[in-house]
Amino acid sequence: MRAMSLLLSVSVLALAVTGCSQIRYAVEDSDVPVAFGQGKDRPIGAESRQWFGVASLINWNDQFAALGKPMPAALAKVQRKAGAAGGVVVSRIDEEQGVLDFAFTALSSALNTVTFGASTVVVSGSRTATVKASEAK
Amino acid sequence: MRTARILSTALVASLLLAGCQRLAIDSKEVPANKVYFTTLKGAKVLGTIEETQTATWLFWGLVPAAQPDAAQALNAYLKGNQRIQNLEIRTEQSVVDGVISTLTLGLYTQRSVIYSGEVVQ
Repeated sequence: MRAMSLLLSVSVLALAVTGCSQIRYAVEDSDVPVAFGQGKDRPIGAESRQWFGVASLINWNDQFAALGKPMPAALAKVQRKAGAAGGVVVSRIDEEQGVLDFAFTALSSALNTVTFGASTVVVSGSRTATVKASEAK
Repeated sequence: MRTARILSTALVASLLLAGCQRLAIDSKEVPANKVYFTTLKGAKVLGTIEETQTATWLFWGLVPAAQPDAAQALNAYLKGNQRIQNLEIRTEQSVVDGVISTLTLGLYTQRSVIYSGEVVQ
């Protein structure tokens, strides 16, 4: 019981400090320039849908990043479609809690209640992100 | 009792069909070739940006009330030939967002959208 209280306190403190269900859209180590704007030159549609959901008490900040990285996935898709793209333009990012996200979140909330917060160490819910990008040359 | 059952069924059905807390970060109105997620070669860093916007919804995230406006957050930093590099967009439920959502029992929910990056020339 004392361990459970301690775990809950740490969880609440971690949430208070870092916020939760964070999704990060960034590009690291890309060989081609990636812009944010309207792709006018050679637009080719590419969408990437990713699930997020595994939470870690040690790494609350990235809890939703554990199962996927929407931006690199979208870039890879664009580059596959376009061959050697000279550049990529991201025009829109959509995010939502869809049907399966809702079900997963409801399930994890129920688990969380039943286990007095212990399950938040493992699961916390999910959101779906879709990145629309195009080739720009 | 029957009304409550109908209402709760309708709520669950609409959540399942429509999804909730839809959020769009659109580049409309953001000037072309000015904002980059990557590092620009040879650019001189003038400063950093950190802008926070709040997306809000009514009725458990079903009805959007306010959506983030990327142009409003970024365009102020694009004076003259200034550009933005290493753009990072984060969405999260901050402590305040969580408290407000909890206090209103989900009737009003909000999520923070944070833009950060470097202004370069």
